[in-house]
Amino acid sequence: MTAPLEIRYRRLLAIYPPAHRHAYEEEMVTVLMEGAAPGQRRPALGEAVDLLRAGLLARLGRGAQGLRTSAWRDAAAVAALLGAVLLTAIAGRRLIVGLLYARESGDPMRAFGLDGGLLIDVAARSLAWLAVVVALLLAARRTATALTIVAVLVEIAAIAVWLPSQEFRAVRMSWALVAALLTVALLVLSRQGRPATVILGRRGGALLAAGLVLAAAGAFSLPWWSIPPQILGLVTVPDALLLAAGAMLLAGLHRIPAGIRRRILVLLAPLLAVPVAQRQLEQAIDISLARSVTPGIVVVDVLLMTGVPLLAFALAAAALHLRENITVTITRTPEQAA
Amino acid sequence: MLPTMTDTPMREPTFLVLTALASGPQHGYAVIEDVARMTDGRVRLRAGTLYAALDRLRTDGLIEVDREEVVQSRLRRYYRLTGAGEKRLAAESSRLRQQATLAEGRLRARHDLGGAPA
Repeated sequence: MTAPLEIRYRRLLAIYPPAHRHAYEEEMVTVLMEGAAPGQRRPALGEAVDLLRAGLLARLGRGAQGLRTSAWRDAAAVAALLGAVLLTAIAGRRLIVGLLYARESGDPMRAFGLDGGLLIDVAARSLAWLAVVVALLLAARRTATALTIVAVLVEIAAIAVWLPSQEFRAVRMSWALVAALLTVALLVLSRQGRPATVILGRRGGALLAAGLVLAAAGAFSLPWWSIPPQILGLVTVPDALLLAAGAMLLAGLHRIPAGIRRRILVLLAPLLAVPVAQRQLEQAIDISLARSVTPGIVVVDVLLMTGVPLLAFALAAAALHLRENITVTITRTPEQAA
Repeated sequence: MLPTMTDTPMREPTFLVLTALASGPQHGYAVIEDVARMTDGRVRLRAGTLYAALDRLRTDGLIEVDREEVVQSRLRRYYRLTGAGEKRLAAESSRLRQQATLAEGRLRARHDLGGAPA
């Protein structure tokens, strides 16, 4: 019969990752039982804490080690490119909406002798992220990393310049900053892997680039039409261009091997969760009624902006783990086998 | 440039585990006892710390499994130092000796100058 002490030690050892347990559990139990005092029924507190600490570190270590495999690095390179595209699109959309507004209503800053002043920050953000996208498409990763750092600084500056007049600017723009930092993290993770263009392949890269050009053409055509022309009365030209761009993006991604493609989705999950976190944040603090930024609001902001992307990553990683580790076992009875 | 494995100073449990294995192959519990003996009971490695060090040392190729045996239905695995482990332990010993010599020299000079506290 197994001693209660051994059962308790084995329960504690469950904190270790399976690979570690497979390699060391039996001899660790031997060591723990040899070190136990006669008649001891429970693990000593210090021993238990040491096992939990070492087990958690082993899990973290294996997790980090797992992320350094080539499939994850490749996935990070593509996800970083898509992150930069997303950030370009976010800032670019605001720029276009701003240009449309200025055309319709005139620039409110003109009264202060500054034409187009309201759009300087969004224009800078659009250009900074567009430069990152171009550098990544040209496989100039050092330049891309340097440009990404510049883009993050531009995002911070875009928040800072508005703070004196808009106290809630930082809260409203938290998501853009988090998305920018996640893109930096993806670039860092991918730095020793292959460039995104190599992973996408020539055709995949061409499809992606063509999709981006179409999306940009669609977006920048908007200010020039008071009423965008329609195709067969079904869809406007800019919308059709965007749809075509989306289809090309998906076609480009489809050319990537399934293992890397799934990892791209896992790495994109936190990026896509950031706008959700922003919405939750604004609901949680009731931003339309809040009068000033309190320490409580800052705490909720930080918690949601770190918690939601982390949760999204954990769920997506768990789904990947299940997808890749489910094995189908077919058993036959002797009659069936005969 | 990132520091290589041999550039970084070794942590004390790692150094003591390698030192214990320098005298010959030992199993986990024997390593704990040997380390406690070598340090006059100052360091008593716990199982979590010991196996974190053993796993890292095995991954780095500094130790390897010598043999396994089952005693009273319990697994004992003996570990031994590899050639790389021997070199790494020698390099770390040399580094520690240099530092100790340097510190002793400075302390001697301090005493010679009469700088010691009253």
